[in-house]
Amino acid sequence: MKHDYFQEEKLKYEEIEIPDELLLMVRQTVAADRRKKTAAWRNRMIKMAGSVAAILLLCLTIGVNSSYAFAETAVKIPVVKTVAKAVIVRSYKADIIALDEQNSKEKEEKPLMGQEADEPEPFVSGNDTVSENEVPEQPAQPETTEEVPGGVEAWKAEMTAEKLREIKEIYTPDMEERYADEPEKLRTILLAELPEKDISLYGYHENGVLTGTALRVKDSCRYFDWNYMNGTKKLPDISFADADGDGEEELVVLLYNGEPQTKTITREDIEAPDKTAAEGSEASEDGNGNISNEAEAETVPAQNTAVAENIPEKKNTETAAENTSMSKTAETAENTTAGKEPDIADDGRMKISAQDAAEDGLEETASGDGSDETAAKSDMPSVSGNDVSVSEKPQEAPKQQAGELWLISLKGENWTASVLSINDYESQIIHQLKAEYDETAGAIQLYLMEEPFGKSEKLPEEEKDGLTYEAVNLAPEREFITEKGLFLHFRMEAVFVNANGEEVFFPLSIKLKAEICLEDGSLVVENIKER
Amino acid sequence: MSKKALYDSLVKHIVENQNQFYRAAFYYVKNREAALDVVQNAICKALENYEKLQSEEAMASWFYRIVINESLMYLRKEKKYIAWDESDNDLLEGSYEEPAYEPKIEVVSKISELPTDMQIVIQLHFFEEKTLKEIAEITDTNLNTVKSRLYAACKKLGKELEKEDEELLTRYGKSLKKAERESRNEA
Repeated sequence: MKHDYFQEEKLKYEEIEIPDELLLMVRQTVAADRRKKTAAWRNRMIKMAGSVAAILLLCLTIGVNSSYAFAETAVKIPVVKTVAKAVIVRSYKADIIALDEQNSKEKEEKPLMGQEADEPEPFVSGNDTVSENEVPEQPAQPETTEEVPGGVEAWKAEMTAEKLREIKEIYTPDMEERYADEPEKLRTILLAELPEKDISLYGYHENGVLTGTALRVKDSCRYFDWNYMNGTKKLPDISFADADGDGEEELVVLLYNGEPQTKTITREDIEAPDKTAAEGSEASEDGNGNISNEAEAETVPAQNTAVAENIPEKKNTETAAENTSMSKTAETAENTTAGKEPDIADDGRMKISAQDAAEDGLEETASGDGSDETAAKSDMPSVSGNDVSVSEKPQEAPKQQAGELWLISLKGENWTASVLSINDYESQIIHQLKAEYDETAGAIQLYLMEEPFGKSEKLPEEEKDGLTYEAVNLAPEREFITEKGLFLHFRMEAVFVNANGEEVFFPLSIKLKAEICLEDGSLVVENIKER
Repeated sequence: MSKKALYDSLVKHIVENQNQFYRAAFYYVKNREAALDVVQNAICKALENYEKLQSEEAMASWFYRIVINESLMYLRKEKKYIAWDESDNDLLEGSYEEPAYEPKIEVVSKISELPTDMQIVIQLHFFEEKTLKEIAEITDTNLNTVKSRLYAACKKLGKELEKEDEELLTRYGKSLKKAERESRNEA
């Protein structure tokens, strides 16, 4: 013992028997964690069928969903505007949606759709923040415009929480056929639901009108003049997320409208989008650009706008409170655009971007008043001209749609993409980020602008035996916003399918970084290798 | 180092050194099943929070700390459980005697009578042969605290073992010198 007490003790310590299960347990624990992480990661992933535009779209959507800062910035980026309209209803509690006084005011003033203010069943008090970025390209049809008010109003009056609850089937396009004989079933469609929280979002769907939604939370419901699925087939999403970073989760409603449009992002453009709404309203009034924010607010029952601005609003809540919802919108616009407004106003609609035009169109439809003027305004850039009839718009709209976003040029290691102005649209080339699997080489190659992008990546031979290539998944790994712009990082993985139809994933080492610079509107896509 | 690489190297570290972690856990909780639980919880926590890990160098100490903390947490809970059980002796008797779970070896009987923080220092220093600096990292204390704990532990043990007193102190002296040399070298 004297020999060495600690030596002896140490021996005993080392003799502690290691159970056989240890190895298994460790492996299982690690595997379980990996699965969990992969699942979380894969949830945010898209198949890379799309273009760079698709990448961005995806990210933006996520971004809007995930951070207040992001959402706010997103409002400033026209491209984003086309993509998602995020409506954040704050302070949701287990059984109520809290909406604050302001919002109810908004509501009252908002009745664009119907001439009467739609007085929603008050959801107890609280605050509600709505943010939206949206450029709906709505086929504004004068006829419908007239019909809308009555239809939606009637619908609102008629639909109660119980009635809404009966609708269980999520809308799919094929329902149009299936229920062709029962229009009643199509009148209210279920757009999204969160069954575990008993929350659902419904849309008014009659005569092709895609404006007017009802949000049901348990046994209460509230109506919003939100547009949904205009120009896109994507159903809205609802989820819970802490969108504004205040530590509390909000109910986030993402409404997809329009599709990415071609546009040069310049400072002006960045500021312009918010104006759109304002302009639209103005147009109807005096057709003149110099609209003071307040003026706009009063005149136009801003449907989308009101909602959209809420994000900025949050900050200016006090101010906003004084003005109507519209004014809020205006405010936001102002904040961003400020001085530029007048100029734009002078040109009138001409300067309005396609998006704006589209928005205007929407508004018209929604508001129903001054539709003619609006229509005139809504001259799509491509169509340009006040004479464009409303009916033509819908056809025009597709031209500006998705995929045509970027002109990408190669500068050394960097791929620079500029978003083209609508006027240049015709001559524009579509550049996509593509992934191709070369079977003989067993490698994945990316192409940007039809040029090989980065080195091709070989996949492990033996592991992919008997598997069929399916796609490359692209997963946003992180996104962040600085004053300069928006940065997005992606990871990628190749997807194969085995004989049983199960998917097998091979992570790729290539990592993409996309960077949208707010300063000059450029988009840079880079391959950042893992260091 | 990317997050993924960090995660992978953490997994590697855990798998490679699992026996060491198990021994440490067993040393504290003195029960096979409990030690397995402790290690499992530690792994889960580490993998969940690996992003908090600053660098790969800090990994070993960081994970060791988690294992020790988990063990202590287990002991605390256990203590509560026993205290609660004492009021209900009938329950205790049936369920508690499971000889298979008794530690076969009486690990460091005298040492286990020491306060926990001293036990940890002894275990790490003499059994795991960690340097005092490493111990400081693992226990998240500063070097001087480790030294004084080690000294106090040796003294206490020395008193109990009387005869070894002298030798323990000598050993302790050696450890201190070694630690100083190390820190000088690093500087």
